[in-house]
Amino acid sequence: MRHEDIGYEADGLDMIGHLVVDESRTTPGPAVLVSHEGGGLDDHAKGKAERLAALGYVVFALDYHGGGARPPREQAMAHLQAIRQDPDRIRAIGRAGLDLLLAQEATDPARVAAIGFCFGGTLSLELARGGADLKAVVGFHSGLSTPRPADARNIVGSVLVCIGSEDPIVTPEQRAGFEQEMRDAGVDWRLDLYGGAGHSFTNPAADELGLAGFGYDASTDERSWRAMIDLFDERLGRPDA
Amino acid sequence: MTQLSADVVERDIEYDADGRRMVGYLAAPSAGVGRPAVLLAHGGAGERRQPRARARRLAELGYVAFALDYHGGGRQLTHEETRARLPELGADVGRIRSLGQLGLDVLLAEEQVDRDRVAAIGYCFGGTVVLELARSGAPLAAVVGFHAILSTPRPEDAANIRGRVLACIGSEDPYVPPEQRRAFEEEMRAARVDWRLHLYGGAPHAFTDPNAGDHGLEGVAYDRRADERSWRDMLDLFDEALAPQTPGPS
Repeated sequence: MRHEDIGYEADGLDMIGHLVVDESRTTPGPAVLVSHEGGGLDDHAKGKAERLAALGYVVFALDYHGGGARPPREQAMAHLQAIRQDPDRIRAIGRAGLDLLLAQEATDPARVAAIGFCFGGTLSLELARGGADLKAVVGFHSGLSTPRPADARNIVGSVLVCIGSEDPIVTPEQRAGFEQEMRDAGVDWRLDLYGGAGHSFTNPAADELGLAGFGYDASTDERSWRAMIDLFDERLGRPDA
Repeated sequence: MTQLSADVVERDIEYDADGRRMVGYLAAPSAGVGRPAVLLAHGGAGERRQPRARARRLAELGYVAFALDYHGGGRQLTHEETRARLPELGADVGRIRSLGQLGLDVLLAEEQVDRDRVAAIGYCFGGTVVLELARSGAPLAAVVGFHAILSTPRPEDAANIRGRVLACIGSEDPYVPPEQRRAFEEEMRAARVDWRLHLYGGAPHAFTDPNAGDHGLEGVAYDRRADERSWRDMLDLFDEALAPQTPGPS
């Protein structure tokens, strides 16, 4: 397995993404772009990338705060605040990461998915709304609202969002708005609502934040991972195929 | 007992319930004991081809599957019969639960069944039947409702649910509108059930039934994609809840 930190520029920042690829692969295969939580590129996103690579996917964990690590919390929050309402900026950040994944010899450009956690899910969805050729997009406890819902008609792949019923950030109103957006645009979409799960349910470190409504949920983490793999099997084909 | 294939046998099983002679359908692996089992409940009109086909598929995967009958005679009702029967049942949750329980009893009487590894699935009003069975406290490790009517006159009974619940709902189902989904969410939350609701974008009511479009009803149709995805989601839950090492519901 090859691990490589790759520097690139996006949004005026020096980003450092993390590539994981099985070097024994001889033909191009399915690939996944991973976008980290709002706090920054850390062991959570890298661990997910690692797990996907072990299954045979070519994986690039992009960076959207710069430096390839978690910046101080205030800095991360300020950056999120600055880009949150600017889909063009968000999509450009996603696009830069996607281009790096597509530049890998091991990547089959016709079998690419994007997944993301928390704001990384928002970013993946915006990348899809921008018309990127993604066969599947999966958002885990991802913010679902967008300033430009009409752009959902540009989505070419299948969308899955995995949301905790108790997530204080992704509220029932936000879910309902997303449902309307997807319906209006005729997207192939699903929303899996996990009972009892809060925000950040995929991240074992979430409990340490001490934030109300945030928390790791092992069974939801496993179930939503399984749902993602099922979608990949359907839309990307298995990595060994 | 009829040998359906090298690995699967089938037979009709008659039993009495609700003052009627019921005709259920069993499909099972042709050999082996200690097997996980699935109870299936047909849709509101009593269409049987679909649940029987699903029971056979489950048997091929190693489950003992029993498609119960809650209308009698093992047959589909006419439109008029359905319009009379469903409101009558819907008004009496005790009767619904009893219909589910009697079907479950038939399944549990099969020697091949591991009683700690039993799930129930249902379609449309059959989803209501299996959910009510779970609300009555039946020892089910997993319950799956496909385009299931989710409402109940006794939401507080959800506290009796012992297994894991999965509701597979089409976003365009006119019989399971958003308000019903929200009430279900509230019910499951209040009772602290292990639950999930999968919302399949664009799917109508009866999305698992290839013959659903025959009746020309608005918002009722087959949807292959949602059918295949929800079947996969059900099997994922079974892998989790009915695996041999999984302790049964206590």
